[in-house]
Amino acid sequence: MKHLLIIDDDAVSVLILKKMLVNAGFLDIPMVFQNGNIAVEFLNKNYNSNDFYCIFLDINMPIMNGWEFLDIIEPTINPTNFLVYLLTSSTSEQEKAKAKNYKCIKRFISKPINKEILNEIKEKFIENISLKIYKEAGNSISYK
Amino acid sequence: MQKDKKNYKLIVVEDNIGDYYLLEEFLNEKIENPTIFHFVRFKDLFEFQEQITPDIDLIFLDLSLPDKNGTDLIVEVLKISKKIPVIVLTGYTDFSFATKSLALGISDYLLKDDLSSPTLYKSIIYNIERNNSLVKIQESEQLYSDLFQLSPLPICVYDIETLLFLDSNEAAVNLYGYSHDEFLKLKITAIFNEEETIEQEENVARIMTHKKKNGDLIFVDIRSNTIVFNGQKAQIILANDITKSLNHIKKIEVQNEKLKEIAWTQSHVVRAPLSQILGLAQLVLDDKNVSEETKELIAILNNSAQELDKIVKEIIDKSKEISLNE
Repeated sequence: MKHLLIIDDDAVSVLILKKMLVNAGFLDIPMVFQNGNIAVEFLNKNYNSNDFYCIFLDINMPIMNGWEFLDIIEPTINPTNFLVYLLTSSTSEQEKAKAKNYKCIKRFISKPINKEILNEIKEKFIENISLKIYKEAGNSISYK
Repeated sequence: MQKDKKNYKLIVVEDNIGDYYLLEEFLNEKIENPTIFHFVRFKDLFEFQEQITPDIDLIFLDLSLPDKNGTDLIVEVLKISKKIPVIVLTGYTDFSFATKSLALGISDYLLKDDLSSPTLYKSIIYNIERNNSLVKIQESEQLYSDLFQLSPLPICVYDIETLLFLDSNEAAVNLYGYSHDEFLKLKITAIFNEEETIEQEENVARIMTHKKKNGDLIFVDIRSNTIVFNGQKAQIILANDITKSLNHIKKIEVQNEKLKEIAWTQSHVVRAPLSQILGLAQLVLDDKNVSEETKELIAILNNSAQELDKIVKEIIDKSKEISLNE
């Protein structure tokens, strides 16, 4: 199973991202969370370490911001198939540097995200899934 | 025998004409043409006081004059003698009194019956020289006192044992608001703000919070040193008031905080709606169903938004310099 998640409180940003995901050829319908806390609740119930997660995460949100979300969720997930794309209107170097402390953050993107980056993300997402399938297939072959 | 050719100016107050002539003779034996001002009564000397100038070398004073004598005479003469050495001339009967008169401030006494030209001359030379040295020492003491009193930096001295102030200069009086006498009744701790303590180390330099008489708190850069003051082990402290400059720095820091807030607003708040405009414009430009005419307009909108974005980024870059300067 693969999951596409958007965690962002800004409705316009979510609208733009959704449309761009469709334009870029993402087939999955994204799940949208208004803040980190709702996303944590969802993942606590439904996280499966064998599934693939592609997450667009905003930093500035009410109740629980992007950093707080990562601090809670990172110890519980498998960073190889939990790809976080930090999507923020900030261009601050400090935040960019902070992003390097989290293994699951694959990229720091200043809004608005462009088509080229989205295409790369899509490929990575697909590649990640293929790799996983290939590995499992390989394992099962050698196992037998 | 060579006579001393220096132009001596001497005052002689003597009512006994015989004694006066004898003295004059002895003087003339050793000194060439001395200038002598002779007075018989104290009243005459008193009337002459305007003309008693520093170029007069000595005053000879007989202790029993018709209008004044004894202690009273010495005290009155010293009042108008203007630091010129006074040598008392006396007979055997007044001998014990003559020794006491030294304590009153006269330079020397000579017994009339023992007088000879060599003893007189020796006394003149000795007392003039001694007085010159005394004046120099007094001037030097005055200079040091002035250096302390007139220093533009507040200076205080306090006793290390009792912590009581021993001295304070004018600048300290002006800074703290205590008079010199009030200072002498206070301990050093009286000018400290509550949390301050005494440092006993030598050459300490530190910033302290002090309290003025009116309760105002001031920041002072303190330098101190151990000295011996009138035989007591004391600490001399120099207090430089840096309240103004510290407050100035604090104001700048507050302003820096505000500038950082503005930078944060630029980075996060202003850029949020701007990124939406940029994103929406991109969506319209990518939409195949939108007419070319609309796309042209949206392209212009997109360019304007990107220009604005560039300006916002420049402001953010400049704001980074504020943090770097810290």
